[in-house]
Amino acid sequence: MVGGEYFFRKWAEVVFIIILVIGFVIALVSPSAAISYIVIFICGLFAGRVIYERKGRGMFPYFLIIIGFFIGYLIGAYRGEREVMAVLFVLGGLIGYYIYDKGILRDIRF
Amino acid sequence: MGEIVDLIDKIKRYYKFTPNEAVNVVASILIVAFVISFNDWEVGNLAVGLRNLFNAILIVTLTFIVHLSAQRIAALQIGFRAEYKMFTFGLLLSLVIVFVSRGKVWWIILPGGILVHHLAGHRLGWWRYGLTAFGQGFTALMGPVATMFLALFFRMMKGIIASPLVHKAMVFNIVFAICTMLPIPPLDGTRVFWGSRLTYVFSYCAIIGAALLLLSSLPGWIVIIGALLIGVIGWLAYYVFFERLYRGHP
Repeated sequence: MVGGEYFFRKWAEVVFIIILVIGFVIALVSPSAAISYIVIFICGLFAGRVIYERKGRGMFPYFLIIIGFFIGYLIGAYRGEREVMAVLFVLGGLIGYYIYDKGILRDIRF
Repeated sequence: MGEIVDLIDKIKRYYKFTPNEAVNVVASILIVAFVISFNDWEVGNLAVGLRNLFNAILIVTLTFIVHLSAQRIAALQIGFRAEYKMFTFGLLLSLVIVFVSRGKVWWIILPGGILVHHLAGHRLGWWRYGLTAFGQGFTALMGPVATMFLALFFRMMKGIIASPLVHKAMVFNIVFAICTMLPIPPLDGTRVFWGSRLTYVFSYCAIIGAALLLLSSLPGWIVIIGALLIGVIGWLAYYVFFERLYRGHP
């Protein structure tokens, strides 16, 4: 498989790795535990938004990418409790999903 | 005269924000204000932080009002209606970056863009009748241009009122105009880019030129003329080195 075809077939895995590294770096540069918690909560909101948008339209690759980010973040987070981060990420995701599902916020990509 | 009366009537009818749009605008203002005031919070002194946040909200609100009003009025002038939509990913990204960088990188602001609606009756007599890419680009461009003029106004105010708040307002307006002109959907820059590449290059070069000149101590009229000159140079360079080759020689 050439580069383009490989990406076309395996884009979810490629993006998974990239996002995992980004999550790792973000966690690594977070200056304190409190900021790590806030950042993972905001990233949870991101994730909730993505899941809402993909509802009923093939969610698995996006779910994989979100998990990739979460794993990367947990690997890189050396400040703060990882259990708290997991809870905050899930909580952020639920809130992010809810505010779009209930129409509290609406946005566009283009 | 008739056109002005018509425009005033359209403003009275269509200017107001829809409830959903108002929520989007308020959320964007709060997040952007928090991002730009992040550096001004002091540990153990909540009052100072809140005061700075309040000042930031005032600055951002004024900028949003000017930015969106310019777009709405420009849209109404050509028979369209502009509606603001926030860019959640962009705003959350700004928040993450400002947290991670401890407020050092506050200048990545990706607030949102506009949706342009067609006002059927008010487009009668226009060629082309329907929604056009250039019309949308023109509408979107008016926002950053108005923001730069607001920055120029704050720059002139700085000579009268020597306040750090005025300086902050000027810098924020410059950053806001530059960020909203980035060609990232759904920011204004995308609409301008797809409306006309040459207009995009001219306007972005002029805005960046104006930003650089505003930060110097040159008089206001030189800033405007200088920005236009930089825009023309950028436009010409883009045409000669890229656009002409893409379109083929005449």
